[in-house]
Amino acid sequence: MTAQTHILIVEDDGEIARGTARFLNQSGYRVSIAPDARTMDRLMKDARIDLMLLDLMLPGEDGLSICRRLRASNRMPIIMLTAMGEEMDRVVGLELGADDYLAKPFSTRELLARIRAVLRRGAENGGSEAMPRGHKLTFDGWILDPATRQLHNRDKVKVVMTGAEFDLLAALCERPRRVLTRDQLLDLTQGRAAGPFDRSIDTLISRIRQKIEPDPKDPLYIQTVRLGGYMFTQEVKPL
Amino acid sequence: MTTMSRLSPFNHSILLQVGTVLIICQILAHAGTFFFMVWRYERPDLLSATSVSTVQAIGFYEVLKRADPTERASLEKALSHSEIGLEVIKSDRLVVAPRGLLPGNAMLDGLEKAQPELLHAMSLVRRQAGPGGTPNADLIALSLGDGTALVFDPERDSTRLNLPRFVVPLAFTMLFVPLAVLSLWGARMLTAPLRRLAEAADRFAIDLDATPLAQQGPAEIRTLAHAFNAMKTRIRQLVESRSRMLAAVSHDLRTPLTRLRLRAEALADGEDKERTLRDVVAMDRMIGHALSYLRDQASPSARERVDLATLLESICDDFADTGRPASYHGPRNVVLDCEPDLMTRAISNLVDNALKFGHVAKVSLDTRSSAEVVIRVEDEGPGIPDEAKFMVFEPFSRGDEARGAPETEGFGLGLAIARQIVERHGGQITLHDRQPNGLCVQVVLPVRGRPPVRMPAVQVPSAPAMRTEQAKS
Repeated sequence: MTAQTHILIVEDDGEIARGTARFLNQSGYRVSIAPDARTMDRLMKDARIDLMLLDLMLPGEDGLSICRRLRASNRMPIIMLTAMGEEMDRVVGLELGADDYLAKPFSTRELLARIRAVLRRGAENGGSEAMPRGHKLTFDGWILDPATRQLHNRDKVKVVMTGAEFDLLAALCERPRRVLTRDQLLDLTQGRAAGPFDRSIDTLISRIRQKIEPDPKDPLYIQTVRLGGYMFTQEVKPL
Repeated sequence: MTTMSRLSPFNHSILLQVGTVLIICQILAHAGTFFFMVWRYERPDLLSATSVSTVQAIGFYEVLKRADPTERASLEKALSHSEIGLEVIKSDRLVVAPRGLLPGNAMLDGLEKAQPELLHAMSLVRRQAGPGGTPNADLIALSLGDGTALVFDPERDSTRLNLPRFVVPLAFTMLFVPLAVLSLWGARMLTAPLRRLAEAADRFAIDLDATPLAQQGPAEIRTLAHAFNAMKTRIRQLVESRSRMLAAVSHDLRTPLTRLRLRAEALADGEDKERTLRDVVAMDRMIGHALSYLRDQASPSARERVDLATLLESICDDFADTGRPASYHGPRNVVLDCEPDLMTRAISNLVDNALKFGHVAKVSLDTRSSAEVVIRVEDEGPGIPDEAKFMVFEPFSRGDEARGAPETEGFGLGLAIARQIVERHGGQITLHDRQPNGLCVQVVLPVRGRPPVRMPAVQVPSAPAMRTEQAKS
C-alpha cells in the first residue's frame, strides 16, 4: 500500500480512543478520532478512511445505526467494538455489515490481527475472483453463512466448528476449484487467532474433513494437491 | 407437600373438606328429622287416644252397647265383613295378655288416660290359639258386658307408619347420593377461584409474562387475586431491574477495564504488566459469567438440530488450541435438539472447570440409549468431597474456594450456568467420583428436546436501550 492506511476510531471514551490511537500509530497507521457520529461524518468528508473502529454505544446515533447507514453507500471495512460482548450483538453487527467484531476489553495484539485480516480481505475483494463476502454460500446441499459463522449440513443439522476451522473453510469456499497453498491459506485466515498454539493448516484441514467429509479417509470436498496445497472441489453458489 | 398435610386425607383438598362438611351437616339435619318422625309415630301411647282405629272402636263400642239384639246381629255381621279391623268375639275365646309389652301395653295406657270412663271395660288380650288366629298378637278388647267383647288390633292402625325394613336404607341412599353430588358440586364452585389462583401461580413460576389473574368471584378471592397480581408485578419489576442493573454494571465495568488494559499494555514488559493483564482478563471473565447467567435465564434463543459430536469436539479443540489439554472421545454424527450457543457455554464451563481443578479434561459421549445422550467431562484432580458436591452448582457458591481456586478466578457461576442451561434443556447434571481420582461431571440430555421451559422474557437491554437508560439518569 502506497499511502499510509488511515483508521478512524469512533469512540466516545476519550482515554480508550487515545490509547488505541497511540498504539495504532506505533504500528504504523494514521489514526483519527471521532467521539460521535457528527464528528465522524465531518472527518469522512475531509479525508479518505480505509478502516473504521466503531463503538457500539455512542451518544446520539449509536453504532448499529451508523453501521447500517454507512453500509448503504460505502464498502469501507468496519470493525465493531462493544462492551456488551454477547453473541446477539455480534450477530446483529455482522448482519448489518460490519466486517468483524471485537469485545471490550480487547488486547491490542488481537485488535491489530483483526485490522490486518480485514484490510487484507478488503484488498483481495478488489480482485473479483472471490465470492462476494457476507452472503450465504451453498455447496452440495451444505450451507455456510459467514455473517453468523454457521454451517449446516444437508439434513439441516448445525455442524459446529472452531473459529480457525470456520475461517479456513470459508476461505476455501470463497475460492472454489482453485489450488490454495498453505501460505495463502495462512495469510487468508491468520487474522482471527494468531496465538502461540495455532494449529498448522494441515491439522485444521484434517479436523474440517472429520466434520464435513462423507468419508474423511477419502476426502471429496477438500482435496490435497500434491506439492501445491488444498483445493475445494465442489461448486459453490451464493444463496 | 408438607408433613402437616399428610396427617389427614382431608387436608389434601379444600374441595373435599368443604364437601365433607356440607354432606355431614345435611345428613345430620335429615337424619334428625327422619328419626323424630319415626320416633313420633312409633310412640303408640301418644297416638292411641287419637288414632283412627281407636276412635272408630270407641264409636262402635257405644253403638253396640246401645243396640237392640236384632240391630246388633246385623252390626256384628257388617263388622266381620268390613276391613276396618273391628271384631266382636266371645270373651271365652280370649285370654288376658301379660301387660308390660309394647306396643299394645303403651297403647292401652294411652287409651286409659284418654277415656277413663271406659277403664273398667278395657283389657289387653290375645286370641286363644286356634285356626286362623295369630295367638301372639296383642289386641285391645272392650268388654260389651254380655260375654262378648269388641276387639281391635292396634297394629292395624292405618295412621301408624308401618315401615317396611328396606325403607330406611332406601331413604338414606336417596338422600345421600344427591346430597353428596350436590355438596361436592357446591364445594367445587366455592373452590374454583382458588384452583384458578393456584394454576396462575404455577404458570407464573415458569413464565413471568403470564397474564394477570382475573379479579372475579367472592370478595375474599378477589382480594387474594388482587394481592397476587400486585406481588407478580413487583417480582417482575425486581427481576427486570436486577437484570438491567447487572447488565449496566457489567457494561460500565468493561469501559474502565478497557482503559486499564490499554494502560497496562503501554507499560514496559515485566511482572506488573503481566499481573495487571491477568487480572483484567479474570475480571472480564467474571463480568461475562454474570451477564450470561442473567441472559441465559432471560432470553429465548432458537433451538435447532445440532451435531453434538462436532460441538463437543470444537469446544475441546478451542481449549487445546490455547494450550490447555482438553480432548473429545466419542462417536460422530450425534444429532441433538438444543440451543447450540447455550449448550456450548454449558459444556465449555464444565471443561474449563475440569482444567482449572483437574489439569486435564476428557469429554466423552455415550449414545447407548435412543432417548437420551450422556456427556461426561472427566478430570484427574482431587475431586470434590461428597458434602461439597451439592454446593458447587449454587450461584455465587464458594465451592471453588474449597477446591483451592484463587479468589480472583470467578464468582463461582460457571457450574451454576451449566446447570441452568442443562435443566433448561430438560436434562440433568450430576457429579461423580472418578477412579482412582478425579471428578466426573455427567450431563444427561433428552435427544428429542422437550419444549423448553419458558423463562421470564426479561431482556437484558440491548446497547441502544441501555444508552437511553443512561441518558435518562
